[in-house]
Amino acid sequence: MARKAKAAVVGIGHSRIFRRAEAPLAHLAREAVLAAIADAGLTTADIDGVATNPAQPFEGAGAIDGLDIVSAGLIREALGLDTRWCQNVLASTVGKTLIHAVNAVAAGACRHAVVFRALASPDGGYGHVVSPAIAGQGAGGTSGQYVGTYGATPVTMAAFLMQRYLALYGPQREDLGRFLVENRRLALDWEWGYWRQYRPEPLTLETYMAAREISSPLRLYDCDLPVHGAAAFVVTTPERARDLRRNPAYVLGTATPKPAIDNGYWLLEPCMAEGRRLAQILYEVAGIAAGDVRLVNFYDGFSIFVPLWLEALGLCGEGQGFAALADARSRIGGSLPVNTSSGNLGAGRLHGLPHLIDAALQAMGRSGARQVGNADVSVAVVGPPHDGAGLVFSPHAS
Amino acid sequence: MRPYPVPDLLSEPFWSAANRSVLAIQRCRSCRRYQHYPQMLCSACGGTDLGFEPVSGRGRIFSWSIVHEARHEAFRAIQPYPVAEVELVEQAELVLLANVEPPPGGRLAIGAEVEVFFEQVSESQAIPQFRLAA
Repeated sequence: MARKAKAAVVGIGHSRIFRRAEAPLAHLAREAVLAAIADAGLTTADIDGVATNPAQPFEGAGAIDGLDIVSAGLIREALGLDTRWCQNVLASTVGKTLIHAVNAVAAGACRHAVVFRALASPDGGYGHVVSPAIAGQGAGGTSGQYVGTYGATPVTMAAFLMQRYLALYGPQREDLGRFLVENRRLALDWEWGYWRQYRPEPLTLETYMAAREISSPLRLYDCDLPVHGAAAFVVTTPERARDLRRNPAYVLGTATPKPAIDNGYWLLEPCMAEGRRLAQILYEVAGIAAGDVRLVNFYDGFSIFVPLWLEALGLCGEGQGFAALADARSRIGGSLPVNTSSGNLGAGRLHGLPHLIDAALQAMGRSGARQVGNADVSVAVVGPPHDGAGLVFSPHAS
Repeated sequence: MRPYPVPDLLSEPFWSAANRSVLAIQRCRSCRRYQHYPQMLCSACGGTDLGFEPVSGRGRIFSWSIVHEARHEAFRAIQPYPVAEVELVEQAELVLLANVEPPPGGRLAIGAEVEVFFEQVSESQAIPQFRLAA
């Protein structure tokens, strides 16, 4: 039933991570790239493709290559990569960049591509805006003259989705809290994560429910914590993958139907329609159905995205997302584990890297204590419902 | 200093209408659909013949949030403050963002009726805002 894979992830690498810019971002990107290449059992001489999306996901981010961002060219030169394909991708998330690399190796444009993504957490505070002159249309509908003039923040956009969702469906907020409590428990085992390394404390339901509001109804633990770090993937064809040291994570299909909303606001129903459309395309391209999905890693920069993606992918009923997440089926060991990686909320604001990493590791059989038995269809979706990048990984090429 | 919008070629009619206490939304002359943000092409029919038309100023709250942690320095001074998505009565899902004050001692509600007014934010610029309808 599933389509034949045209690409596979064969190596994964992660840098050290920090709360703030305690190491230059280029050093962290280099760490991640070299680790991924070594993980694949390859050398830099084997790498002929490089891609990243350098832009940082917050307003006022600097663009000094190596300090605030890391370009594909910087890594290419520093590591002496003899590239046939080298791209700085204009994409909201690394999910889209990974899809670009999948397409490149499938087309024969390069043999072994490394995709990396470096996230910056500046010392001066995240997304802080000083100038009173609010110009432009912003990015992804989260800033600019129609948003910043009124003091709305990126958090506010996600808050709009949650506020309307709560009013329409009346779910139990505690159910989302229970999921996040379990998510933190998983986070304390995520070896590359902020919470495990720096603040290995559990989250209680009481703490979650009583935490201060950031932009109502989103509270502190509904929002991911900015961190400074990088990760990388090596992608190749299934034929080459079979000769390498790791069991590959074959990519059965991908979907990235549209870019972020650049010219409007985040409205719940249109966003969900886009999410459902992504799901339909992803399932069709991968040759699978909702019932085939064995585990999922859904973007959780804000907690509300997880139940929204669960609904958009047809994995629970409309308005049932919170209850489904609190259910035992969503835990490791359940019938449909959700966010086995613990996501951004568990690892820090790594903007979809944890999701892609464990979605692939699970398919490779390398997730250790997190391993889902029979991880035949491992789905990752990075981004909010209206701006998703979906990938289906599997231990099987078809 | 309170933040103010910088009009550009696309947005100048919107902001200058606000200076005349008029809420004007871009509308395609071919298919008659409104759109906001204003664009160079009609997002409904792809048309290139677009203009701005005054609208009633009436709407309903589509969603809302109270911002407790502003990103902008000037807004940090006044947090927490309300923000709302206002759906204009002229067209489904035609939305503007504004600061809608909750009723005294109460909360905003999705579906609540609102009406436009204009707030001076700098010497030269007023911006559309909405208040709960009487």
